[in-house]
Amino acid sequence: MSEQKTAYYLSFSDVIRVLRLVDETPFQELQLELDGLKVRVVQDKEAPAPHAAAPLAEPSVLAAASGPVREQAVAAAAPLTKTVFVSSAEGTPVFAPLAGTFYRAASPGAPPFVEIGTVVKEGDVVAILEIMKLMNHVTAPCAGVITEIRANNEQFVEYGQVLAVIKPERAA
Amino acid sequence: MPVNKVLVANRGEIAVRIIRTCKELGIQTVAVYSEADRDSMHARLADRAVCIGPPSASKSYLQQATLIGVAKATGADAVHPGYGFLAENAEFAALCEAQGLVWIGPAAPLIRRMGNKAEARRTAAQVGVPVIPGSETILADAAAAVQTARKLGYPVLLKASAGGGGRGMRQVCAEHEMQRNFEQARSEAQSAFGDGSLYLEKFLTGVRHIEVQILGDGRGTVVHLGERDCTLQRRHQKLVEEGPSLLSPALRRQLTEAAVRLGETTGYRSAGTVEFVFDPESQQAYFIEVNCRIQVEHPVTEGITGIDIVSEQLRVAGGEALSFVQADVSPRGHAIECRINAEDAAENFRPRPGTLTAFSPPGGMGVRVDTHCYSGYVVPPHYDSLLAKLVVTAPDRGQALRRMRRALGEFVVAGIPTTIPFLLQVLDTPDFVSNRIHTRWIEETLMAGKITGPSPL
Repeated sequence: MSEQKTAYYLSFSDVIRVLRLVDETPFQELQLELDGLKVRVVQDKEAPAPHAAAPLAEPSVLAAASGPVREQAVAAAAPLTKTVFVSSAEGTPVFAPLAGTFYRAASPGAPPFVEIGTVVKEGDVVAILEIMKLMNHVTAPCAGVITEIRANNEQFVEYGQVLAVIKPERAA
Repeated sequence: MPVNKVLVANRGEIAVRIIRTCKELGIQTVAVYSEADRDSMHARLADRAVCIGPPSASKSYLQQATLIGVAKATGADAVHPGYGFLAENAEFAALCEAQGLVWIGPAAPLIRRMGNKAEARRTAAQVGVPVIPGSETILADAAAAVQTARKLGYPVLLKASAGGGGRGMRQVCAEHEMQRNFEQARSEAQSAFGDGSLYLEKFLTGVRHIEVQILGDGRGTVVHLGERDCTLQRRHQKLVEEGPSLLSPALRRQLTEAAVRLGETTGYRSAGTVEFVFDPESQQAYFIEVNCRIQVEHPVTEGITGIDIVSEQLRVAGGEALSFVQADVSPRGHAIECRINAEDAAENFRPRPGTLTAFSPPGGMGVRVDTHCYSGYVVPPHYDSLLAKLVVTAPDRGQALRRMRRALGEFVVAGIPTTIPFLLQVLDTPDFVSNRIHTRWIEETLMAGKITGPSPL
């Protein structure tokens, strides 16, 4: 059985508490880190920071748990003037499109396709999954920065397993 | 070398059944599952479970490279293919063996040979096993078919050599129909099985389906475990099977001996079933095909012989002899199996997947239920509609019928329609009780409303 990871879910009342914190403080930006979950709140009197995730018209919160990446949208009861960007520690996952052996490089001794911090475009090769000598390219589902690599070289992975995480970024 | 860890290349009830015997023998198990089978029983029961693909079988359970890759990565040393899927895929069997994995089944060349139905007929005829009168070889063209049909007499059955299990057949009633049917059958066979080769058989009506279970150790010893009667079918799909059959002892001996002879000639290894049709009018039995795999209805035989067929398969795969000899095989009593499908009999047996809001199988003496279902289980739409096999064993057929009615009546399944009500009605019809049925009885008699039973459909 695959390893169970504890999930952390941000409830709506948690979000409100965070927003009130931001309100009550003189700061423009609050970053909250909880057990692998990052919440970043920016007061939108100014334009949002250029590298932030796409601003949301409704203050809906996307919270992701560690482990299997899930999205939970929580709609606000009353419209708030704050824009909430949640960039969780997860970002966008790169799922294994098949079960196979995970390779970080094109061949033994060759440099890995990506490292943590590598900037990728959508469609860039990030890894190879090999099954019975058949090589399959695993490609980036979006543009961004590799923030995590979740499998080890030559590890056998299952279909749907998270191999890496990309923090999505719009092209400059 | 005894088998240490088995990769079960299947799903559903048969995967559960295989895993159970492995556990009893101390053999480790690896289950594979598609995304649709994440909550499946077989994945939960196995020592290790690996997700291998999206719901579609072609992208998961039929992915040969993935299955072998998973076997090697998890340290499995053998593969059990179950039935269906890749169970009779000679290429996959050969691939496993080439990769150092023990194939729990007959050797690949034999699977290939028996998979060619025309070739299997020839092999049977060569060892004096009676075959349905028909063409000696593949038919070159429609003209050859006409010639053969003239000798046999109409009606005849055009059959795909690469087909089997009731698929790829076409009835031809008169000579002027042959050309058209031949061409159509050829192209259908080509697209369904990748091989358009056809052969011809006399079309027999009013026949019964009798099959013999064999087991071989791959080193020359082949035994039979008696026969099963699988006459109750609907569109060539078996619904109810029982054993022993009602054949006379002489006929029974003829068929079981023929089956063993066929097994010995081909050096048969592991479990197999030799299928016959029996014509009650002429009292003649004829060979149709050999199934080189464990079959759905194998529990019928287990019920009356007490022999665990999967256990014997595992022994043989590990290079051991069978745990018994022919003289030890003495069928006792009578067993009946009902296949319970997620189908609506009132809607032309339309498959109806969905959530089982209740699932409570029967129990008691002589009752066995092979299933992967449980209360709350979501029956996925991507695979076959078999929910469970209910098998009863009793001292004689009369008691077995009473026990089956009792057990079916106890079986609670809610949330989706099942064939349980249909089965209860079938078990009550005089034709079935007196065993006067034939393989097309459901379509021709029961469904046509010719007896008191469900309203005509």
